[in-house]
Amino acid sequence: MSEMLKTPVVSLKGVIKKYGSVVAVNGVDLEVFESQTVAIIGPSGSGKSTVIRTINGLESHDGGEIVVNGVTLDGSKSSIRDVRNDVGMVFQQFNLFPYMSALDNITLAPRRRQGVSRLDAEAHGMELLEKVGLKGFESRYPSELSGGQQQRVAIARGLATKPKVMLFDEPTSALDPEVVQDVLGVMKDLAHDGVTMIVVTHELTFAAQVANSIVFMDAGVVVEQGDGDSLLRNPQHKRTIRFLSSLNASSFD
Amino acid sequence: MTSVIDYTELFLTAVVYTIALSVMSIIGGTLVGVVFGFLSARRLEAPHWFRAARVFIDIYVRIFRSVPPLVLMFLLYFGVSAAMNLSISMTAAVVLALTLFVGAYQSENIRAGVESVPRGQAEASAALGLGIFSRMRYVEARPTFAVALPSMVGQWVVTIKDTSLASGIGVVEATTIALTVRQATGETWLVFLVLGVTYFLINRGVALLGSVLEKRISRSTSRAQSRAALV
Ligand SMILES: Nc1ncnc2c1ncn2[C@@H]1O[C@H](COP(=O)(O)OP(=O)(O)O)[C@@H](O)[C@H]1O
Ligand SMILES: [Mg+2]
Repeated sequence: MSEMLKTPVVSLKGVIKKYGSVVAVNGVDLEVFESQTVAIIGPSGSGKSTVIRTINGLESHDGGEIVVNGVTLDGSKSSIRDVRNDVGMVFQQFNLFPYMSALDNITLAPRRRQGVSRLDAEAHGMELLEKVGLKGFESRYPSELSGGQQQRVAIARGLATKPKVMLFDEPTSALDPEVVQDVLGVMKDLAHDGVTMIVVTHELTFAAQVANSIVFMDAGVVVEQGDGDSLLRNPQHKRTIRFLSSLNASSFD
Repeated sequence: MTSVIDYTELFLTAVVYTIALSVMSIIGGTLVGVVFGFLSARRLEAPHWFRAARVFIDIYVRIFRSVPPLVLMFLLYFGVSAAMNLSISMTAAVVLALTLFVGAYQSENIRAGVESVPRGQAEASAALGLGIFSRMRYVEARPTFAVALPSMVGQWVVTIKDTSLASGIGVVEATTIALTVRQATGETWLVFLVLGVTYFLINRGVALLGSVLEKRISRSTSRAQSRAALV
């Protein structure tokens, strides 16, 4: 309850995003407090990616209000720059820079944007690599890493700028099944370390175990939100029930 | 009639001049191409002034790809001095004409290279808060040159060949001297054979330099791409 007294790290109020006539996000409210993990689930095309991409300004929003660590995203360059300083992001396709070693991927933003010295950036980078279970992999290029390893480097890269919140957009959806748990394990560790996270995922077990709150989205709106027990075991809305049963049906094929 | 041999020194001097014109024009065209190509590429979160520059660069490219370089030389050498009462040296006219002509092609080569960089790379750069210049330098430059270098070297060869057009305004370069020697000696095929072989050798040299550069780029990127085909 004490967290209710604090201001949220991320706050969305009535956020709207349109692509031409398509309303991808239609009035989404979301609050994420420090050290919380929020999972966003929902069918494909429901606006999950769009929502988290508005949080660091990768997509501009057409309505509503987004505040990240006290900075309101008002479309100005400076607000986007400030917000990106506080937000790390991990993509479904990793998006590592292929011409750089793992360590250079991690130290690029601290060195070139934050002005951290090479020595300090690399020392921190080595710690992060160890944290994601890739000690000794610092000079590997992305092409010399498996998908799961690449994604863990991407997580370290996202953490390297010491963000206030980490965004994950389906971080395990492009991975071979046997390495999914490696990446989820790292994310679990982060949650335990108190990293604030917003995770778009189809991994309901992960969501149930790790997320303080699960948000179910459909057709651009938040249909239902609750903790793992209430939302997954006792969903209230027809659309939630239908989505969960479709997921269960497919995952137990 | 004098012998062809008597003109050896003059010809060699002219060859040196051809090489000098080539080097200046290649540098000029490449610089224009790199700057304009990186500015005008369509990409995620390009600054507004890049987009404004693209309008201008598109017009430039369209014009200078459509006008023969010899006409550009005439225009700069005779036209500009006549119109503006301003004297421009022959060398400057030739180098400027070739720079603008080849620059238009190089700009398109570089632009295509930048635009071949996957969108996810730009998204990752943006999410990391990198500015456009850091993104160019650290994220776009290598894949851009890996893609663009072969066609850029092709344009270097075009530049060298097109310096022969400078004979059209009387610059004392290899082709001009060849024409002079032919007139003075009456030797036609020998003179032009030597001239042809000279251009061939210079261009082979440049092509060789180009392939060394390409190898260096591909060596430094081969680790980056060794498994890319499997992903
Ligand atoms: N760049 C875009 N241009 C046009 N429509 C888009 C774009 N990105 C997403 N959309 C549309 O917005 C809706 C939400 O997409 P998205 O946020 O990617 O959903 P999710 O991540 O939940 O699968 C979809 O209807 C999708 O087609
Ligand atoms: Mg998505």
